[in-house]
Amino acid sequence: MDVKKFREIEELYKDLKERQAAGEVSAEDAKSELKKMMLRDEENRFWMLGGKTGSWYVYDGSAWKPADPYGGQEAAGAAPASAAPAATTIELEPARPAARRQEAAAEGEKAETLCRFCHSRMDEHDAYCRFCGASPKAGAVRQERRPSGDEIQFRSVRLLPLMVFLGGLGLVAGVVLGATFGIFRIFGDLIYQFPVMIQEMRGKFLGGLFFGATGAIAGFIAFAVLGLLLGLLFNALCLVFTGPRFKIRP
Amino acid sequence: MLDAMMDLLHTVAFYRLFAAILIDLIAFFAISLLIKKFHR
Repeated sequence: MDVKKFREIEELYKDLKERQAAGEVSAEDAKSELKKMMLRDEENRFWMLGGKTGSWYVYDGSAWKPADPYGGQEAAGAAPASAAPAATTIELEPARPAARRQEAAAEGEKAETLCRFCHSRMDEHDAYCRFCGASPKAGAVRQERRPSGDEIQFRSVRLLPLMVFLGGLGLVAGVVLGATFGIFRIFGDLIYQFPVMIQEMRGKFLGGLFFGATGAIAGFIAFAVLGLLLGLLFNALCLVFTGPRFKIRP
Repeated sequence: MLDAMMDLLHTVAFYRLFAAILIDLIAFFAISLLIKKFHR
């Protein structure tokens, strides 16, 4: 059993409860959010957190029963307080394996509509799933947006660390360029723009040191500003077109 | 060609350049580390 998924849902549940306690989410909204947190394990059993108890319940085909997904020990008990879709009265059709589905299609059976979220059977024109209450449309959008386990998606970049990092890069470049300017005759007559006292340092070790330091500060500021602009552009692009997605090796 | 480049690199001006770059970099990295240390 994928313990990680259960832990993730528990985290979401905690967050939801905190938001509800803070008054950010109404009881009704919390209930509907909780319905969306339903999980299906490898054995096609549905798991859900109880709205009041915060403990796990499993749907055994006819009723919700308290169970421990980590130990696999099931215990008899009442249905969860928030298992609103009156689970006992609703027929649950667990999702069929793909092979079986193909078989059915081959036999000429009418293709059935499955809820995108909990995979239970839906009538063709149902606006909401009778089992989990999710809207097929909303479910579809949510699934598209959520990257799978071996993918990461960039949503935005934090500006300050990006500015500091690029600023550091600019600092190194500024030191090299500045020190070269302080010792050799590059950038033409630019040196004559500086006061005579500084012009006299030119070509000496002190000139390299002074212009290196000046170049470092200038490079840091210039690259930090560049980082700020790039970060803002990236965030704006992510906001409009959604961020790039990367596959990672798990 | 290589000899000419090596000769150029071994001039006093280049020694000054390398020394200035090295000292500046060390100074700025040290300052950055100090800022980081006292910022936390």
